[in-house]
Amino acid sequence: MTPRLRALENHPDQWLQVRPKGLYCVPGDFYIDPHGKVDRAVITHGHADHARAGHGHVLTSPETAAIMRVRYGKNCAGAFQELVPGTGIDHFGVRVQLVPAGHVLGSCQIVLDYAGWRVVASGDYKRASDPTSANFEVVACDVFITEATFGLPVFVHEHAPDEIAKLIGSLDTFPERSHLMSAYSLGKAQRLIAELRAAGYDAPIYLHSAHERLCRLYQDWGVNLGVLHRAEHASQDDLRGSIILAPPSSSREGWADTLTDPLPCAASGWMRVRKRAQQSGAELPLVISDHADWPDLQRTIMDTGAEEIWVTHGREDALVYFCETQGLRGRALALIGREGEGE
Amino acid sequence: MKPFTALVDRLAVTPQPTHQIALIRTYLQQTPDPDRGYALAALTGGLTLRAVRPAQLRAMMAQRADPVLLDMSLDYVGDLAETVALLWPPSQTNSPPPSLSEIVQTLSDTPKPEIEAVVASWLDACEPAARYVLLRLLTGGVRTGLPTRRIKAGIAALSDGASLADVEDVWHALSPPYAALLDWIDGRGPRPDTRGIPTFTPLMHGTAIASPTPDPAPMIAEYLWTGARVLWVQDQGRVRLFSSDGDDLSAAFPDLTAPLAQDAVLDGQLMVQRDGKPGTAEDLQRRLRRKTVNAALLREIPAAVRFFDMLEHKDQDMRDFALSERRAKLESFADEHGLLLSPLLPTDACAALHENLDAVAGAEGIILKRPDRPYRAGTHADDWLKWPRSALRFQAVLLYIQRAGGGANAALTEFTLGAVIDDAEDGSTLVPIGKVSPAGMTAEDLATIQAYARENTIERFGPVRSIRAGLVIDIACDGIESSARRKSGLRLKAPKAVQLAPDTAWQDANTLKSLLKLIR
Repeated sequence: MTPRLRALENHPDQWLQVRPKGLYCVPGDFYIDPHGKVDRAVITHGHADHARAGHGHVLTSPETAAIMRVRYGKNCAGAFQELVPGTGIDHFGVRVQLVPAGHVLGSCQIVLDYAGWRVVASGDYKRASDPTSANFEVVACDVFITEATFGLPVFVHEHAPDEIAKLIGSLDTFPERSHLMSAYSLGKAQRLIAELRAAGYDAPIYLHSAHERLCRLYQDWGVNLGVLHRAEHASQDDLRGSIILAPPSSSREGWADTLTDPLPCAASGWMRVRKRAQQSGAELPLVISDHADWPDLQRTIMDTGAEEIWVTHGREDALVYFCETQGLRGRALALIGREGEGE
Repeated sequence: MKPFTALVDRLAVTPQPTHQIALIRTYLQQTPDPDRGYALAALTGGLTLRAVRPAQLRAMMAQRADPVLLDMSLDYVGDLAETVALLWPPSQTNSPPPSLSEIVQTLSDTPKPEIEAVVASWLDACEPAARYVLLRLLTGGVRTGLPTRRIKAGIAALSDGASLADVEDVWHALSPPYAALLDWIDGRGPRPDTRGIPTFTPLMHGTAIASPTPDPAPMIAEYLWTGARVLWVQDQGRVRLFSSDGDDLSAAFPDLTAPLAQDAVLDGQLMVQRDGKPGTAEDLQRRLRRKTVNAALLREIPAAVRFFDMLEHKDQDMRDFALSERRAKLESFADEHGLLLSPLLPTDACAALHENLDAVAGAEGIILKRPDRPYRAGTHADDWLKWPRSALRFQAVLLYIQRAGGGANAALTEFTLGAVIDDAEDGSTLVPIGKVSPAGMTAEDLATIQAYARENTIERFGPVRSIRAGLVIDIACDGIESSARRKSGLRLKAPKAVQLAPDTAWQDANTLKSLLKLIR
C-alpha cells in the first residue's frame, strides 16, 4: 500500500465497532449486514443471515435489492439506495464503495475509506469462477474483514465442472432414478443449474416451488438457466432420470415422497469431509461451495496486502493463527447471528 | 486412480445393494484391464499393499504442514489418512495420478527405502479424494463394508450369461488381476478352469420357523450350533475354508485346513472355544477378522467344525443325492478321517430337546431336514426348517432413532435401545445396550414413535437423533452374551423390536442388572 497520511487514533477499531446488532461504522452511522432492524444498513448480499427485512434505509447492489424485494416484499425496507458495483458514494466523510465478492448474484464487498484508512468488509466470498456471479475483485486495504466458513486447511473445494461431471455420470449409471439435489434457493440452486448448462446438460431441470422465484430473478438479470419446470406439476415419467432441485428441508414433503427411488444429492463445501458427507444422507455428495476454501482464504488475505485481518463467522482460530504466522494482526470478531445460509 | 476413487467414494454413501451392484458394474464396464482387476482385488480384500505405516505417514505430513494446523485438522476430521489426503500440499507436478496397476507394479519393483519417496510423488500427483483412497490402499486396504459377494454380483451383472453362482464358483481359482475371469465375463475367453483348485459353492440355508407343525413327511433333526457357517473344500490335496459369503478364511484357520487322505467338500458350522467352553460372538469375531493368526490366539480361542453335509466326495458331485445318502456317506467319511459331526437327534424327542436347549453347550436351536431332498443353494421352503431357541423377552427404553437418509418421508431405519441403571448416584439413568431394526413393528407404533420424536428430540447427529426417555419397546432376542468391549457389558443376540409398551414408564423398563443376569 502507498503510505497515506493517517493518525493512529483514527485506526479502524476506533470507528468500526462490534455492537449487539452487528458491525457498526461510527462516523457513517450505519451497520454492515446487521442482524437486527436498524436505521441505516449496508448489505453485502441477499442471504437471510446478512440481509434482513425491516431496516430504515438500505444501501446495496441493484441485484441484492431485487433479491430482498422478492424474498421479503417490496416494502421490506424504508428506502433502497442502489449502488452499482464499482461505484461509490461519500457519506458523512466515509467513502463507501461496492466491489464484487463472487459469492452469489449481486454479492459485494464493502470498501470503506475514512481518515486515511481503508477497510474492506468482504461479506461472504469465493474466488472460484461462477457463471451466476461477478468475479471477486481484490481491493488493497489496511484492514480486511474476512469470513471463515471453511477456515481449516482440510477444506479444499473441488473444481465445480468436475463435480458436475459426476452428477451427469450418475444419471448414466442410474437412468431410472430422479436425482434429488438439495440446494439453498439463493445462489447454490442457480449456480448448479448454470454449471449443468455449461457442461452441456440441456434437458429440463425440475424445481421445487421455493426455487422458482429466485431462478426467475436470475434469468431476468441475464443468467442463462435453460428450461425449468415445477417438479410438483410434472408427471412421474418426466421426473424419471431427471434432476430435481429442492431446498434441504423439502425431502420430507409429500411430493418428494411419491418419487420412485430418488437419489439424494447434496452440494456443499462440508461434503469434503467424509463423515459429514455420510451424515448428510446424500448418495451423491458434491464438493461445490459458494464460499472461499482454505487456500483461497489464505490467498485473498495475502492479496489484499492488509496488515490486519478481522475474522468473522466460521472457524476463526485456524485463520487467526495463519495470520500470525504471516506477521499479520489477526483478530476474531465475535459477530452473532451468522448461521451461514448457502452451506 | 480417478475412476476407482469415484467408485469407492460412491459405494461409501450408497446404502442399497442393487445400487451398489450398478455402480460396480458401471465401473467394470468403463475401466480397462488390468486396473479393474486390481480394483476387484482391492474391494474384496485381496490386495494388501501395506507400503506405509501410520506413524511414517504422520511424519511425512509433519514435514509438509504447520504442526498447529495439522493438529486442528486432525481434531476436526478424526482420521489420519483423510487428514493427510486433504492437507497434502498441491504440487506443480505434471505427472498423472498413478493407475492401480502402476501402484501394484511399482511397489513390487521398488526397494523398501525408496518407497516413501514414491508414495510422496503419488500424493503429489493426486487430488484430495484420490489421495485418500490411495492412502487407504497403502495402509492396509480400502474398507467399503460391502460383502465380497456383492462385488461378485457386480461382476455377474456385467455378463450376459454368468450368474453370481458361476462367478463364485470360479473366483477362488483365480488371482488378481483376474484377467481370465474378466475375459470370460466379457465373452472374450473360455470359462476359467477350476480343476485342482478348491473353489466355493453357494450354500443351502434353512427357513426359520416359530415352532414345527406336525409334518406327515419324516424329518431328521440336528442341533443348530452357535458359530459361523463354513464350507470346507479339499481339491487335489489342497484345502480351503470359506465363509457362507464365499470369503476365503483359510489363512486365519491353519488349525482347520490340514489336508485329509481323500478330497471332499463339506458343509458345517465353525465353533470356537475359550477355557473349554463355547466362545462368545466376540471370540468368534476375533478369529474371523484375522488375515493371519498367531500361536497364542490359536491356543486362546481354538476352533473346530461340526460337519453336517457333504457336497462332493473324490470328484463326485453329491448335491443331487438325497440328504439321507449324503449323510450316510458323510458319517463313514467322518469316521475314517476322525472328523467332528453334528449328531442326529431322535426326531420324536425334538420338542423336549428344544425345551432343554440350555443343557447343551453351543446349541441355539434345532434344525429339521427332509431326508429325501437334494442339496440346493439358497433357501427352499420345507427342505430345511430352523427352529431357534425361544426368544428372550424384555423391555428397553428408546434412546436414539435413525432415519433413512435424504429420501422419502424419512422412514425409521434403526433404534438404539437403553437399559435402566437404577442405582446411579444422580437417580435413574440409561446405558445403551444395542440396536434394532424397526421392521416387525406396526405402522401405528412407528407413527407414534415419529410423533414422539418430533416433540422430544434432544440432539441431532446427521440422520440420528437422540430423544428424551419416555418410550419403552418390547424386545425379543435369541440371547444375551457378556461383552467386555461394550459399556453395558453385554451384547444382544439378534434382537428384534416387537411392539411399543405404552403402559410401561421408562423407569420400569428392564434394568441393566436384570439383563446381565440373563447371560447364558
